[in-house]
Amino acid sequence: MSNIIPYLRYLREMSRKILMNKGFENVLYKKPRGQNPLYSEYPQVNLNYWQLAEDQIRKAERNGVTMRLFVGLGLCVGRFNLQAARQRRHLAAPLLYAPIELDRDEDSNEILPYERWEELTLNYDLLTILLGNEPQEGIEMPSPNAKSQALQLNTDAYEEIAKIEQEIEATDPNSEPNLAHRFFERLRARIPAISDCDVRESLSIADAELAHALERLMQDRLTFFKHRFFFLAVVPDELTAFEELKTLLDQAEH
Amino acid sequence: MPFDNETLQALLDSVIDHRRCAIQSDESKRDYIEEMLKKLPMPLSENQRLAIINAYTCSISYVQGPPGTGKSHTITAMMLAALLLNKKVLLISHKPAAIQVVRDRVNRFLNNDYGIVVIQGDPEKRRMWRGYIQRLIQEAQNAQLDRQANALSDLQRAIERLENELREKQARFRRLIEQARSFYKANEDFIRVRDAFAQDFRRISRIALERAFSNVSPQADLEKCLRAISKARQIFSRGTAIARKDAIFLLALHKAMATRLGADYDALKSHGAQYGERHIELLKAFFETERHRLAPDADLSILRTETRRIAERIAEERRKFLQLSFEQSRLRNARSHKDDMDAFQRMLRNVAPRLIREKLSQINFHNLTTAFPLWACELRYVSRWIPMQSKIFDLVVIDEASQVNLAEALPAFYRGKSICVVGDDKQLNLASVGLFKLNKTFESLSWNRNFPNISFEEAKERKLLASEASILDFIIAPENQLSVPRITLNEHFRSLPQLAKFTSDFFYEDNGGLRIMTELPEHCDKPSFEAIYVDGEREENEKVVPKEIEAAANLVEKLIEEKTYLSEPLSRLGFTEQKPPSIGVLAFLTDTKNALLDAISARIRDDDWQKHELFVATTEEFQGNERDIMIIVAGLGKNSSFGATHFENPNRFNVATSRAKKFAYFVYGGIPDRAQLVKKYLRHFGYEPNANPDSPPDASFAIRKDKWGYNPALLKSEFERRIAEHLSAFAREHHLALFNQVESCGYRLEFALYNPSHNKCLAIEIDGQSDATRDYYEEQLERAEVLRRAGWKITYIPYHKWYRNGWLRQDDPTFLHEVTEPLFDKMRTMLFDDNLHL
Repeated sequence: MSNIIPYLRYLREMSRKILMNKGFENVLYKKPRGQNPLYSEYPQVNLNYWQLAEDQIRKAERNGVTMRLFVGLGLCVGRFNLQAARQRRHLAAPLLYAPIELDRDEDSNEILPYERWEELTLNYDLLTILLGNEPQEGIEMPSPNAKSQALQLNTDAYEEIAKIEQEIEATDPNSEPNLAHRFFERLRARIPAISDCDVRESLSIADAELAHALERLMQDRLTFFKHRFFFLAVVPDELTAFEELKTLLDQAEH
Repeated sequence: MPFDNETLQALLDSVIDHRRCAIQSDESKRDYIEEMLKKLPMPLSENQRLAIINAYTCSISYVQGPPGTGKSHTITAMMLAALLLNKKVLLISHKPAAIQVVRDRVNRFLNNDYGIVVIQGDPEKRRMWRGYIQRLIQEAQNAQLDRQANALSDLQRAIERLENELREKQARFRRLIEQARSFYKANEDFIRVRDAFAQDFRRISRIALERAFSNVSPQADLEKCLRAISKARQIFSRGTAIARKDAIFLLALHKAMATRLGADYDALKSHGAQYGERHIELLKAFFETERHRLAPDADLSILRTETRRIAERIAEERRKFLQLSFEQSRLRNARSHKDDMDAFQRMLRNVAPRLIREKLSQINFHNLTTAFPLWACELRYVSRWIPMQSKIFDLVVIDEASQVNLAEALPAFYRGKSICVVGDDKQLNLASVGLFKLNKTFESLSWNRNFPNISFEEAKERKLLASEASILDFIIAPENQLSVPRITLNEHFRSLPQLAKFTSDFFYEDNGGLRIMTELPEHCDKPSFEAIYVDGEREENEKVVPKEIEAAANLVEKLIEEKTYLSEPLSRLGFTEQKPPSIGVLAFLTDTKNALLDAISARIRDDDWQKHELFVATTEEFQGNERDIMIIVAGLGKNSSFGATHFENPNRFNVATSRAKKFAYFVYGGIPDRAQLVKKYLRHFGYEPNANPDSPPDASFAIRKDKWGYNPALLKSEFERRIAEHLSAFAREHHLALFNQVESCGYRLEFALYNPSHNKCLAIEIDGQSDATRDYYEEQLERAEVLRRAGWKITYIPYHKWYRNGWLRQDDPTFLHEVTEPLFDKMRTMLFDDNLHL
């Protein structure tokens, strides 16, 4: 039997999980110079929010950077000790996210936001850090034993993530407002490093005060906020490969 | 077959399912494409031509482009060739700069700012494209295409006339150059016989021989004489008593040989038949030489100039033809496919991917690509602007393929009938590039879920893993069943010779090494490297050596603020205040890079960053970039933990050490014992690792002066010695540097002159001289092309004119004046005339 279809499935899965150093573990605070994350709670926004987002996306395009507006589901903020690397990381990232398209009405020229829920994905940059085995540059493992120890797996957590992935494909996020929190609790039960983190309802803060608020929050231990929010970030390239591989897969399967 | 794309199907069948699939190759088209490539108005090396032929004849091909070997030039030629071959090409790269270079070159050749479709994120650029398409549609409606077609036919006829003329000249030139080669060989043989004769018998009369040469009938006289000598041998073999009639015969023979054949009478008497036979052998060698002598009016130099002039005219006319036919074809298609072009330009207004997809689906992309056959796109924009349709391009070219992941490349390939991957498996690939921060566990779980029958380890071996294998690894992995034709571009144009030589010797030796095209006299004694040993260590738990950061930041500051590039030794590299060097700072580790960025940002103003194109980055980020001056910061102390797989990964080290065009500094705290490649790198330039920073490097390594000089002991023949005398005098008179037996661009040059005041170098070639065993004419053409591509000017010495009757014409003032003056005039022009573009 041909392995081509399983291979395309594998590639499609990986196209989301390959992390491209785009910094999706911290999309709100340590933003690239000159780029505002345009944080706003979902779904209410003020009137000129879409225009601001579109302007910033276009400005980035002129500089050869692809930005996109996203809706984040659940927000992890705080300090996290990465034991394997003996490093401290600051996180401010959604647990799940989906891109938002900004169409314009052909008649009124009004901006029409449109959530691409079919592209909803877990934030693998964040999960990689929470799982604590970030690869290290320029350092070799001192001995084979140490290597195997360093890569010791929390298989429970990975299996749970695999189940969540399957559920995401079958879930309509509109019908379940607490989706992110539900998933987070399942992960918390299997990842000891986040077992004692706080869970709160909402960040409830305006974009203008975001940096200050996050600075304070990031000095504390990790907190999970259940709410959804808009944010602007550089697009991980693989989101596009995911769609294209789906086309190839469809063709191979049918 | 699940896919309606045979190439992608075959690729996946063979790589994933291990089915043996042959690469589709249309051999019948090779000659046609070869002919078409001759019509391109740009120089191409042999391997560049082969790479393009493979791309258009094989369903999958690989162009290996080591650092500085002209990948962009080759891709440009590939794109332009598509216009002649009526093909549609899509170039993909994840680096915007790579796309931009090819776009600019193609557009320059086509004299059209919109020659190649590059749709990017920038809305302003899309607006310009919309405007262009609208103007084009308008223009097409009013264009007088018949008139343009006539102009094109006229141009085509003019080119054919020139081509015929060129063919005739080339045929004549081939005959003459081959004759010159034969003459050279025969004459050198004669000189050997002549000199051996003179040495053995200590008697040789040049005057008598010259007389003989002009009197004797080669065939009849010599054969008759040989028969007589044979008879004389028989007489002597009968004993010492000689009959009277035999004595008379011998006397007559000696007299005849002395008077008619120029033999020495006394020598004949002393050495008898042995001398006679050797004398005849000498005459025969001479007549053999004369048989190949070129006619007095045969002037290779004029023919060379004429053929080059015609070839240049043809290139110019071909450029015009390409531009005109491109323009005409675009207008014709803008008329035929107006609706699709219009829909495309309207689609360019959109930003939202969903709307773009909807509108793209309404465009007949085959029509659109007929109108616009050349496309280039950054990988991240492919899915947005180019519909996911099978085989809408004849060829999809992926640049920097060693850094393109499988998940993105395979859908891109779906759009092409053939695939050409351009990259270098000796440079950084995905696994070492560190672009990914992939959680391996996610990957292994995903793999195991989908492939219960292939282990994760096996997948890794077979280069199937998305996290580790680039599309290049995937295609060329030896475990796979594909045998992809590979061509290695081997002419290196980027770095000064000593820098390039390290790259060639240490990373490409198994490919036969690189032909270093910067090996020119002007570069032979230029400094290109300095090691800066700061004797420092990393701070605890840090991957930064503070002393290195301080030294590198100081260096950058001095270069920029104090303009040390205007003082020794950098001043010899041609920088000026108006033309300052571009500067790169490369770190092996990200933490080192971050520390460097902080230190340098604090010292250097924003406008100076721009002025010097200052780029501070890791090796991974530097791949595909180059700078005049590179500062490589090792991030190592003598006692550092040393990850050999990181620091001495040959691919990483190759990239790190091949970014400098003119000068490289290597800043290090210390070299750990285990470091081998780093030590070899330092020793290549004459530095002993961890040696006292004040001790100077070994000069014989640091520069290539030992190989660039004038050494009379290396002169191989009387002719070379004589020419060397003339050239030495000429060099002295004009303050030029004379070199002999120097290696450049993979060839050995007998003589070279360099004018430092005009920065011009001239190779002096001798007609007919060659060590090559292959077709002399072809070899000469290729040699001249390669040398000219590298920047050499070439003049030729007409060897055949320098010999008359077996001797060099060194005492003939009229001759010397007639031959040397035109030669010297030409050399003066080539070495001093700045307006000359020969």
